[in-house]
Amino acid sequence: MKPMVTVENLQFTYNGGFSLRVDELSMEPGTVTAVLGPNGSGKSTLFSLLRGRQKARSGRVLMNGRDIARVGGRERAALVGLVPQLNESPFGFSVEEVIGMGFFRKERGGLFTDEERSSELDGILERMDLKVYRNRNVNSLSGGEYQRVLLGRVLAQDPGVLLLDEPANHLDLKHQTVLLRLLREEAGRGKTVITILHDINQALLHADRVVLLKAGRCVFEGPAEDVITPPRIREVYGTELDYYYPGEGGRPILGPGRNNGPV
Amino acid sequence: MKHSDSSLSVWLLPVLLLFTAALIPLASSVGAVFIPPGGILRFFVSAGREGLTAAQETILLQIRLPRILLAGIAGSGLAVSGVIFQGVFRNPMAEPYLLGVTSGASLGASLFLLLNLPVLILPVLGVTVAAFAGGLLSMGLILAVAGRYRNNIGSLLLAGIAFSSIAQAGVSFLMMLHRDRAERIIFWMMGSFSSADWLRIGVLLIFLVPSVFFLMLKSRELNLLALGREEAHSLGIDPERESLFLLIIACVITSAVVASSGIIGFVGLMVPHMIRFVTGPDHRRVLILSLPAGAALMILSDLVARTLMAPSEIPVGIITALLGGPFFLSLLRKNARAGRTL
Repeated sequence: MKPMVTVENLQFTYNGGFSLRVDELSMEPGTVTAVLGPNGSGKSTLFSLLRGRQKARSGRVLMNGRDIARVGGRERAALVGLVPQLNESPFGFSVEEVIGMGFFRKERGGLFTDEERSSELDGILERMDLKVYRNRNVNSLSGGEYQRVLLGRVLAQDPGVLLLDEPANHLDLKHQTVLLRLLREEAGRGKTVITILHDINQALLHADRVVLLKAGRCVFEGPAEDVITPPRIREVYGTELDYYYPGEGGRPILGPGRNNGPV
Repeated sequence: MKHSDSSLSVWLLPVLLLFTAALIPLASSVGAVFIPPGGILRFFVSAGREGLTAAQETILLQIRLPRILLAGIAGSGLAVSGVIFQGVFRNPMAEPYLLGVTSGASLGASLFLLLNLPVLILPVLGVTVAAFAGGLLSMGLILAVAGRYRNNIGSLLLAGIAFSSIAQAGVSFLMMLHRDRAERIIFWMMGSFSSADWLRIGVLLIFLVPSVFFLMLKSRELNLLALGREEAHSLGIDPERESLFLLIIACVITSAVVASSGIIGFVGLMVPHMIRFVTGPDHRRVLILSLPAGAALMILSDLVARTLMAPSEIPVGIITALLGGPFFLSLLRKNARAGRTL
């Protein structure tokens, strides 16, 4: 299949000295890619390049064949959307208003009727389990509820590529399951899903592919079960993990070793 | 009704418009000479301009009406500027006066007055353009600070206060050099509608009508910016460009108001907060509702300013400061309680 996202010889340097270099990377529609790496490995920088927020020093990111750093606002919003980490607004927008802002590109593009808007909005509130919170001030929600609002907003935006920055952080167990299913569903609808995850087992169980970053370099990239292995995790995170086998024929998960020497 | 708060704003707009419209004849009737409001209404409604004596007609058309309309327009302008500054800086305490934009504009206006330029165009127009240059200068300084201390509510305001002091020192210095014209300049320092006339209103409208029209088209962009620049970017706008456009427009409005009526603080702080308290923060509602609300607040403040100690007048800036100062302090307390760093 033709890739939706292609990264070509991407190089980026902050004034402070940190640099990110990714020579080659591609993501296909219908797949979920997890981006993993220790703190400061360049995950956020990679994301800001993927969504065209920062201009690369050299190289480029193509989305559907278009250089994402060079397209206009509304076209960019149709190509790629972001679920950011939680960020309190000084203004107490309601759940409905925040989700509704996802419709911006369609509203500004015309051809989006009030009926379409309100039926899409109802569908999203239903799907994100937010119906009762519709008129609540987002600043009064719990972290997990707010996270669902932000997920709802990217569904309203409906871009081809979904970027999620640690979306599971504030979610309880039930809503983590809802989130991971939602990512799979969106991939099933032809979206390209790219998510930063902290939990390597979530990546192992739910991602098709994994990008492993270390100190601004993409050190491993490939199918989840090939990338997330104890030796590679040791190399990138500097800590020992063992395989655990949940049962007959199940996929193994990784956990801290019981007595494997240095942490 | 589908959403509770939008049904509220459906009736709030006509109510505010009616209230403001009713204030005009009522406020026009009060003054050194009482003019019955019924007569004023009849004067405007009847075809033959009946209902008022010739003297009353002159007072109404030459003195009171220009003054009240100027106050209303200035109030609307300052209120929407406040909405823009608060939304773009994501800072609920921002407003043109506290950010130092009005002081910068007053410095520009004073410089223009004292330069004694051979006036080729309307002098009022020249003052407005000079005020805009001054306002833009302080805006640039604020942006430089805002870029350095991102999202810090306190440093933005402190920078504004510092710029205000510098600009006011400049105005005082100019006054010292030109004592003969000090009175003219004091006018800018304190804010007043006492020199209102139809020409001033005309010039103010030339700057305000297109600016406000443009702002109304940008309410959705302002909503996105109020969420934060990163989110606004990913939802489909260029946040830096849109912010700059909106700030320049707010600067045009503020400067035009300063040129016409001097420094009047806190209206841009109070009105947006009052509107948001009733309808929520959606700028599609807040922007439009701020227009009549700002007009009403300013007409009432000016009414107090010219009647409280009649026959002498209190500068209207003193009235709005007396209202706005405590308002500011209560917001400060609310922010501190919400645990926001200032």
